[in-house]
Amino acid sequence: MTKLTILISAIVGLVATPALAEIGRIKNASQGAVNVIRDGKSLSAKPGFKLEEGDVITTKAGQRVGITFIDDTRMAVGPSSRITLDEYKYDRARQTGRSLTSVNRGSLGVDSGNITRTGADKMRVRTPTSTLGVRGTTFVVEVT
Amino acid sequence: MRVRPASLAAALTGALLLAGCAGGERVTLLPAAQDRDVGALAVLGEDGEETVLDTANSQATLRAGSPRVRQLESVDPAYAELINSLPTRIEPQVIQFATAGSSISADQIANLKALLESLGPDLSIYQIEIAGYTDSVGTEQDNVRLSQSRANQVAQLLRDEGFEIADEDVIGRGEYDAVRTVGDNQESSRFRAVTIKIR
Repeated sequence: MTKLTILISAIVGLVATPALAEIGRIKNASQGAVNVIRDGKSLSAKPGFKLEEGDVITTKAGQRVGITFIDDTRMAVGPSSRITLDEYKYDRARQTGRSLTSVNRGSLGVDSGNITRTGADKMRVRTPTSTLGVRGTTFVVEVT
Repeated sequence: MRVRPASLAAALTGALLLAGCAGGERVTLLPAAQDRDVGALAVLGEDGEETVLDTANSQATLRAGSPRVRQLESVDPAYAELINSLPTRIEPQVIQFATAGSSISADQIANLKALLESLGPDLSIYQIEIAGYTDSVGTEQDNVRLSQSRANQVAQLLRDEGFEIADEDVIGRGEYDAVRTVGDNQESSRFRAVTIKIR
């Protein structure tokens, strides 16, 4: 390998940001496209849209959104909501991981998946005042 | 860690909560979907204490400090409506293999093809995950390789039929499930399989 090739490789290695992996997918949405905020930019998301760690999902009045995650967790975001996918780490071979989702406002229905099998409270949901540890179950969180 | 029983918290605050609670933050444990147990939710306090909800329709009003808990008589229709918006779960398909084998019958592929075609002309909204498994006989590395080979073969057969399967959705899960479930070095046909999940 020439010195130039090594130099270019080093620069690319420093600059390139690895693409974030899909953690879930928007499956259904009433009232048209959903707004997803990623890296400060607002994206128009339709069914099939691939979600990434850090995404913020906002819904309009009267809008509902269904989401599946790669650990088989399912979520339903209610109207006038803002939900942040703060953390989502999942080893797809071992089926273990951890997640943190914030309900900033509105409502969120959850049917939990494989992450809850990893250990107690590996799946967490945060509200402005509290943190919930999920132990394999179906529930609704409201922040009004 | 100390556990604060939900029933005690409910008894202490029940009268106040009967008046209802407009606004604020609430979490409600619902009856489990399908055949699962109701499970549990814990409200985790900063002091290490936790309030556990473990009966269907128990509701905690969240606030700084301890939550207030009450038992609802039935599911709030608004919650039922929200839960009805959860994406439909599609039953996973399973292909079994002989010991160390990775051959698949034409019938099995035809069944998979029919299932995928039944979902409609646009499959781009679906994630098709193909995961291979082995039993726990043999080394971890060999079993990862064998399970990946099984998954790759199913994925290729579906790709040959025109379906798009992303590389990252073809997964070799080796013996991890088998070790977790029945222990190491156990021969078990149920783990010699590939599952196809459509989300």
